[in-house]
Amino acid sequence: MKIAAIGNSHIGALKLGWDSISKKHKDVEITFFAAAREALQDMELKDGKLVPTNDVLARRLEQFSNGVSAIDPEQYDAFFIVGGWKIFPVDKRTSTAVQSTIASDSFENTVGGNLAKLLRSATDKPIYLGHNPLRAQSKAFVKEFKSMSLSYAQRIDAVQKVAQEHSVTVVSQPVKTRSSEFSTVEKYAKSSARLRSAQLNDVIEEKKKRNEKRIALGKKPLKIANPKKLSHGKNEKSHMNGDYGALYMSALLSTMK
Amino acid sequence: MNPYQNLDQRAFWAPAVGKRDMLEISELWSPKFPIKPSSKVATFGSCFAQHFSKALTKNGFRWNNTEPTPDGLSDENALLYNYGVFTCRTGNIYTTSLLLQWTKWALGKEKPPAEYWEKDGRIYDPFRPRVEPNGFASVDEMIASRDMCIEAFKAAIVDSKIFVFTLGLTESWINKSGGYEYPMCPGTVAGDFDEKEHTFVNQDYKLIHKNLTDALKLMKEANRALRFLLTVSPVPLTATMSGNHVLVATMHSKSILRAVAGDIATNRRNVDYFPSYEIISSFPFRGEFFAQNLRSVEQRGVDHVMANFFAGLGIDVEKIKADKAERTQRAAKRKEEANELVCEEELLAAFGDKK
Repeated sequence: MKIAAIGNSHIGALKLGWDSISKKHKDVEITFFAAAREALQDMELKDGKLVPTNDVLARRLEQFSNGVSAIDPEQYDAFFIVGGWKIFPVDKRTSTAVQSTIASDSFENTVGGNLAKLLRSATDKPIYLGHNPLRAQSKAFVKEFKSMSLSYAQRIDAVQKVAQEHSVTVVSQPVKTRSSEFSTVEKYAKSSARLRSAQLNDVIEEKKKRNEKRIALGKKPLKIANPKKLSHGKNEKSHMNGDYGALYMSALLSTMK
Repeated sequence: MNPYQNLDQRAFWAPAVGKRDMLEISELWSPKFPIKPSSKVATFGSCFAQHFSKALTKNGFRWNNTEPTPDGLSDENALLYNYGVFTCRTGNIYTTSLLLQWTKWALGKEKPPAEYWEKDGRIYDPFRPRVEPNGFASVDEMIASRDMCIEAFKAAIVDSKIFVFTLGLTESWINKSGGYEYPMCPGTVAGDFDEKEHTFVNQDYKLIHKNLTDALKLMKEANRALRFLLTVSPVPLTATMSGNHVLVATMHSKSILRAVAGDIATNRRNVDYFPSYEIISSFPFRGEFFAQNLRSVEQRGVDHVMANFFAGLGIDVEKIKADKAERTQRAAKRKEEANELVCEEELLAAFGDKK
């Protein structure tokens, strides 16, 4: 089976996961198409293919998919879109009308949903749609809010009802990766230590420069945090790691079969 | 020598009003207490109150939104479901008696009645009949949603610094046996009008004054630091049950509300009155701020009211707006850059830099 997996940065964890389990699935070939954030909103349908509408997106897609920037539905058996929409916690006391409208907005007005619709207009082949991972949350946070939130299954079902009208299947985040109705188990969250360290250094350098000016003007210098005391990646709760990706991809393939 | 000789120009009609262009009539309000951009402000009342929330947010003030729009709901749909209109989803609180009713519910002094309205198989909240455009699916759903709103109303009382309330109507509809009030006459949006059960009351000065005093007292007990800013809606009545011509009924109602608000503000240190009513409705402004229907207030009227509000506070709104815009832009840029980097990093880590 040939699958085109299309997504934003959250596809990174899935790619890492796929790399670790792909040997077990020799009959499956996946081509990944990735562009960060909301860049995929700039795709359009041209001659039956999904193509980028600008050079920047084209380069991004080529960078991560071995030089291919157009997605030709003829080349694949199924499509999987990940990210570009979120499944938010919803207070269960909100009306069912509001809940349905949130579900509708989640599909109809998001990059992920729009991409699925665009693809559907080009092919009758199966299209699967997965959301951005639920944020990883601490146990205390989960404890505080767990009685308030509508169940994960209810929220997914509501989006599925909308997606169904376009013959799109919504994929759930694997149960094992969820710590509550609205959160991912913390151990699956990725810490982007390299990047945070670089950003932190930039901030420190900028503050040092500002302090030089402040001191020259006789002003009190700004406090500069000790980078060693900061836990890198502690706040990176949105992106997941390869373990998460492996669980996700296994579950996805089960769904597809 | 007489006492008028020491007064400044704003006390004299000719220099303060008569000889000025209407847009140059200034110094209409000297606030009793400071309202800083950092002060949490709650806004409730008649429909004109919603302009306050919009202007506060737009001008960098801290509007207290205790029942925020659920994540994932688009801006357009949020408005459709009445999120972000008032501090929470009470809908219009037209009268001081309705304010007292909400306050009692929020502070646990009374429980909301069990009444609900049914129309075309949908359930409507008699106390917020327009908050959900197509009503609720069930009575339980309506109660759960209202409980959420009551909780948010309590948060508005205990967690705000300033409570803005716009007085709108004197005419009200009461449930005789239950002794409670509806914001709209049963049978208009939903429900059935029953003349044995539903009665019209055009509230007088004394009753309006008592209800407002009682409401403020209860709120003050729950939050000692809370201060109140009263305004009167300049929007005329849509219809009157008083038997008078609607123009006469409007002037009657607004005059009473203005007098109550003025008296309470004069006699209480923690209550102030802001003259939005005068700015829109008084004759020197020649009705210029009303739309063609002579009822709706045009945006330029709202802008002029709010310009007077911020001028009264001695706040350079343009500077605050510019500072806020700069801060927001800087923060958004930082966030954008950080997110961009984080997201790119995730992809590079997974795919490698396959250029």
